[in-house]
Amino acid sequence: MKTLAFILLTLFSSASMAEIAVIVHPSNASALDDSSITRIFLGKAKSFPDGSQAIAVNQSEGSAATNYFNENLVGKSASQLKAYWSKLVFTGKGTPPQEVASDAEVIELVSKNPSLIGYVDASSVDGSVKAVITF
Amino acid sequence: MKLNRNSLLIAGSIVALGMTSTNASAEVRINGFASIYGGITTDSDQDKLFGYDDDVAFNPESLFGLQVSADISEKLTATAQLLARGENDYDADFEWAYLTYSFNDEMSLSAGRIRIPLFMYSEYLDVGYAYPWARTPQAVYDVNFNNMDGLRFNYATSLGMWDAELQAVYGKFDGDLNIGGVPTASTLENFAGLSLDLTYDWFSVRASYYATSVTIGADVSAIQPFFALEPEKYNDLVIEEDTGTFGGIGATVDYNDWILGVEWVTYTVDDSIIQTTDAGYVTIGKRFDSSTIIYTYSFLEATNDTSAVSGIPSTLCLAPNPADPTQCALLARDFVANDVFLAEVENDNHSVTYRWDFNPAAALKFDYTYKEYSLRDNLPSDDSQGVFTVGVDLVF
Repeated sequence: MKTLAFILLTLFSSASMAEIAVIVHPSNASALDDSSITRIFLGKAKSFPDGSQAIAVNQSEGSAATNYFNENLVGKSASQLKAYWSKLVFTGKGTPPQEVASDAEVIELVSKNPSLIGYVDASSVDGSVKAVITF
Repeated sequence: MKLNRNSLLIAGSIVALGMTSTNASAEVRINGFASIYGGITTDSDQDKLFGYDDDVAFNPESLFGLQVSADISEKLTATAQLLARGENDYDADFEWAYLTYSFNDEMSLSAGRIRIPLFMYSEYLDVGYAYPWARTPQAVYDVNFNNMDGLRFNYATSLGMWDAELQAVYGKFDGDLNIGGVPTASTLENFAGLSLDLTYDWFSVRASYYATSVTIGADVSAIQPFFALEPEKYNDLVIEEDTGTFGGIGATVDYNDWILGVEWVTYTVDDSIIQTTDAGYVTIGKRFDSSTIIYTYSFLEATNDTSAVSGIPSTLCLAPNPADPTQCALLARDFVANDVFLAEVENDNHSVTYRWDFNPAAALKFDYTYKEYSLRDNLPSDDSQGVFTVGVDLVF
């Protein structure tokens, strides 16, 4: 059973993309787990666990990184997320995170602003940002 | 949600994101939604349902909405929603227009024309993309009015893994309401109430309650002479500064691709010819990848308290045809109870909806809804009507 799970996992991860890392500014010492990250990206939490302001940055809708992040961490399909944000946008209660076009842009923004949190392909992470989880 | 092609805005906001202070000009967001539906009823002898009859029509439920929102300062946002409905020949109206002041991340106050958070889906009734059905269950959501001019206070906070949202509204509605099928000038004054939503990831519950002072210009003065001896009973028919109340409770579950929803609402106008309405629905569905199939049962019961007819004396002489005064009184009471009071109604509705998310921003929906009456004043009680609708909901 374990072997099967391992094979499936290997197949799955090689068939899709490499791992994704959630990144923050190097000075951000907050302990972040899947659920606290999800809450920030869904606009339900507006600060990091240490109380400082948290602003999520998305990659482009439909990009491999975004799809992987939404399905594996947030646990919602693109359509479900769109419906979720539609409720908030059209009742004037929230706006989805800003989108940028590439790993490089996410890293550049996050490296310059301690309030930001983003996600990139794990292989793109460099010393200017801190990876909090990789999955 | 933001238009990707709107690269100028994106570029502007990226600059804002990257900087620690933002003193650039107001950020303007434009979002839209649209629904294009066509439908046809199955029975040519019956009334229209959702605006459709037995000829295919595309206008009754189609609409196009555009929302513009501008951050005037860090705390102040202006939002306006322009809506063009097919049933109104796509004449665009400002459905909402309000200013929101955010005290902090949890509290805000909005002022202007606002949507009343009456029941669970009331605030985004027109955004078909945001719910699985082709339309919100009409037994509950076929309420005459949705917006008013006034204030809305929002408090959203988290309690551990639970999110709570409290909304309080106060305002006034002034416009035509559909009273017994006739648009009638109406005002709802001092409309005030609360709604509370509690959400735990896949589970949410909601309760709401509102009260208002209702005046509806339905002219029933022709029957006033019947009540010459007990004028206060006549006042129990007239809709003038009578207390109207609205209450609702509901819950939704969205777990492992199973969708479950229940809601029950009740509303009435005390001491008037308006019925007391109880309505509710149960909906159950399952998501299969990009498809969702959902079944909904809903019911409506509108009943009258006609005790005010006792204000008509037990003997009465009707001028043109003086007959047996007792018989006349019975006729007069019967007439008031059945033809002046709005019709008592009981109906049950069954819907099956198939939703296909063929694009991340658009959903195709097929719906069949069957409505049957078990009570309907002055009409055969076996009335029923079915309607097929097909349409696309999108957001952009």
